Amino acid sequence: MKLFGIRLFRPKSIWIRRLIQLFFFVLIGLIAINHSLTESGAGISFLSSASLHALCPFGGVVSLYEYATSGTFVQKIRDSSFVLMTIVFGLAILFGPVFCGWVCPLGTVQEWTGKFGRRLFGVKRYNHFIPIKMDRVLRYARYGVLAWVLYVTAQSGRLIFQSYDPYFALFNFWTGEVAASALLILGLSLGLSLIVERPWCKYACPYGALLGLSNLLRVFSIRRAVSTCRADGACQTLCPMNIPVDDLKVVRDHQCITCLECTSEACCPVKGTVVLAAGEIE
Amino acid sequence: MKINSKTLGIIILVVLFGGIALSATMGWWQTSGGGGGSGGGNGQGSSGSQAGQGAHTDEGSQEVGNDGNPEDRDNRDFHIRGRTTFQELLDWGLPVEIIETVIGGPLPDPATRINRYCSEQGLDFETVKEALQLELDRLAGGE
Repeated sequence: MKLFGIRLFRPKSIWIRRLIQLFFFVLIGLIAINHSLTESGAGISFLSSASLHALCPFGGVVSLYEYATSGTFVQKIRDSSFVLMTIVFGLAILFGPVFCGWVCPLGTVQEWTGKFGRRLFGVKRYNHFIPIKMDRVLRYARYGVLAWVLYVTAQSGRLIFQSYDPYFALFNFWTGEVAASALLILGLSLGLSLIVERPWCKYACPYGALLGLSNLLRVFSIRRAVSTCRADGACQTLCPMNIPVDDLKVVRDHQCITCLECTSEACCPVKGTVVLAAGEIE
Repeated sequence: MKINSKTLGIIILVVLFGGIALSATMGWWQTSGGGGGSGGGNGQGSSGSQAGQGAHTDEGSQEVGNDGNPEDRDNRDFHIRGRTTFQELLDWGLPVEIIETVIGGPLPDPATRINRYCSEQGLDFETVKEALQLELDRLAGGE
């Protein structure tokens, strides 16, 4: 269905991404619950009971300074964080921030909440409430958050960000270890998800900021074939990060999360027009 | 070269879990252990130092009795868990002064669970647990 040349709902979606998102949400949720159970002496033996800090690739990033200068980790960070950081960086160099679009459970929960917003306000209005000029400026705020997190962590050797981290709050709200500030930010992020898609990712996520830089040099990018593009605006309307895909030949926007929702596999009606590819497509 | 969503999804899963499996094979995949963290005590970040502390990792921990006897120390796993009380620490031979230093205050009722005390005092249980565990390990190692 179209209105003024704009497709109002997507005929298809990237189902495998939804499946993988659900898988990681359930996996991390179960591990977090098992961690709590283990603390009380009733853990499930066949499931990992690692703490969330040990499974967070951003933990590796914030520990880099500490590790380089003193050979130790920031409090609570483990070797596994470094391993995950390396893997996620490798994936980002190849495909961009796929961790954000395919793996991160906080992004997934925001997307799920956003579905209600999309129903409430409709596809055309949802995710388009914030004035473009303000939105453009706000999107750089996450680099400020990244700089702050790296600075305070390097200074203190402690995970100060935990007190503000909505991801930690999401999977630990039942433990009593979560700071009120983190719960507040989680609530705000989910609340805002009703009008903006992935507000935490867009405006505040420090790890998203870092991974977003990979868009500038990634090997496989979202590419648009100008010759077959109808320029109906569907890709731009449905892009969760509001990237004007139909104005670009190659998407190098620092906010792209490689969700593929703009491609010809999803909203673009012309086969082979918007694709994930390395090198020229026409 | 084009890649579709299914291929990308498979690549993501294979790279993530393959990378984890590979790192586990190399001994780099450590999700627990008292060695890391400048904030939690003496930082010993290398995987090697943590690998040696597998007896009290999050996974595969053993039950610990309540009646610690110094003579049994070599044969026991003094692993602090969520239900561990201060009394157990004392029974395992940890001096009151060390406990008080770690928790930053006077020893509460020994029957109090450590995690409950941390929750009441606004302390981070993980941090306190790691610091106390480190002291217990030192004690067990005869340092």
